[in-house]
Amino acid sequence: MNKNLLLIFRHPPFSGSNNRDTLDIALACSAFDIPVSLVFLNDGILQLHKNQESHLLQQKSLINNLNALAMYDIEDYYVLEDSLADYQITTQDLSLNCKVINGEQLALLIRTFNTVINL
Amino acid sequence: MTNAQLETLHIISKSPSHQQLYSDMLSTTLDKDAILLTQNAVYALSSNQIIALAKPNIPVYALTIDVQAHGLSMASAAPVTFISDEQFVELCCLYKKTLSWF
Repeated sequence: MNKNLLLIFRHPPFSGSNNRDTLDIALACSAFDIPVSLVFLNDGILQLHKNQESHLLQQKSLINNLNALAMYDIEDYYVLEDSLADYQITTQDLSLNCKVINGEQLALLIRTFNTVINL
Repeated sequence: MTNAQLETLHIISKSPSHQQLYSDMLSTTLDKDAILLTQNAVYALSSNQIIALAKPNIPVYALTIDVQAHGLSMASAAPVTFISDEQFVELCCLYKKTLSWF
């Protein structure tokens, strides 16, 4: 059975280690040639917001790590249409080139993966 | 043994006040999926609107041990199946994958 993995980001930046941990899982799986896709849901889309200045909070930003994902052959990023609308954000405001999907498409996307991690 | 008919078992463990979590879970729930209430999610049994949100063809399970530990009635009006820890394990095996919401 070909393994594939969907990772769901649901948390805003600067709120614990969930997003960083999820990113670590992505990199680890990529090292084992497991295809990984990422979904940004609700507050998770805020993690992608451009122009963050995390150094002002004495924290490291995940943006650079996210931008490096392509080098690990992780290039499937999805963002939920409703979440963008909730925060009046467009894909132009995001630091990754994400495909916009609706709730129904997300449900169908989840079906196509044999493992989903939702930290 | 896996049953190819069944798809995703959604396992939720937070109380119904986490409305966004519930709406995310319900919006990704399709036919052949099921929902399992664990830990504080068993309080959803006492707020029927949440159980009612589940689609009619989506089975809803609750862990008996959590329901009893939280002092809730097993005589819920909503159509819920109460299961033991052993049945929890069986259920995980019956579905292609599990998806946790917490």
